[in-house]
Amino acid sequence: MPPSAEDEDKLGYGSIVYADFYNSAQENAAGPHYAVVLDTTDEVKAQLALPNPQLYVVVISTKLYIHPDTTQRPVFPRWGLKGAIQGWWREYLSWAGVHSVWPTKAAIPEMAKITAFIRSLPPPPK
Amino acid sequence: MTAFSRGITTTRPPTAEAKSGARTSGGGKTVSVKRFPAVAKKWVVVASHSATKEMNLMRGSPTEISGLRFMPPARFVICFADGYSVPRDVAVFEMPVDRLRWETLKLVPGGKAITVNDTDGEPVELDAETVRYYVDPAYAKRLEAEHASQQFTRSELEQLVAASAPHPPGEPEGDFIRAAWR
Repeated sequence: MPPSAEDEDKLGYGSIVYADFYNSAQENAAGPHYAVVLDTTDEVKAQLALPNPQLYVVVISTKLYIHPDTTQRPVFPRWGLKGAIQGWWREYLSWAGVHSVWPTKAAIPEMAKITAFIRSLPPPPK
Repeated sequence: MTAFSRGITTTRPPTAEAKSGARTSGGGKTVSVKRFPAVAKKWVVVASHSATKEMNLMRGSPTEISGLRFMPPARFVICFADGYSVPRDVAVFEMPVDRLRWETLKLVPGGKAITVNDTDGEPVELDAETVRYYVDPAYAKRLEAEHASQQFTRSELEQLVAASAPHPPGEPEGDFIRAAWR
């Protein structure tokens, strides 16, 4: 089901979206995941005015064994989600691939921690 | 003498003797006393600012919670170490209020967080900085302004995605949503 007009209205920096993601083999086998929007709210609004909006996100996964712990950060309990933010898994997401927008949004202090965490990571191995 | 006490001393109003510009010495002789020059008045202002700063340091951190009291059915009063205290509705945290047992709201020892149990009895922690952000609009505004310069630019995001490491194919994901939220 595509996101509603209401979902579109509340979309912004720190929104949590549920969307289809490709895995490293470029197959859609990764299935849908939650992800946190990293674009500024102004950029999100500008994108939504375009025919094919695209958003930059960082993906959440419950598979905590894939990358070392240092590249993952547990989600904030306030969100009501499980798993961890996968600091090395960043995506350019098409709005058309978004199923829904989670009702809780990451707050600015939480986004400050996520931003600092991503900035602190070394580049992933090739 | 601390800057705080200096501030208090220097901001006292001048005495009648000082106003008249004269006082009587021990031997009954009248001696003239110079009034504060304009520059001294400036120094008093600087000292007062310093005193305020020091007082804030003495009060404690704005992100350390010093007290929390739940008021049924859905309000609470929260106090921070810097003296800020406010009553709020539990809806202020933008969480699904009916999935949480708000009567379990409590302060974590040390004042760095609060917790509330969800309807399954699992504690949900909110760190003090996030709590302050939600209950204090002036703090929220300041934090938003500070964070604006730390947000990723589109070119930075482009570079991050170019160096992304998606998960390899494998078994499906587990449940993403906490049981009480489903």
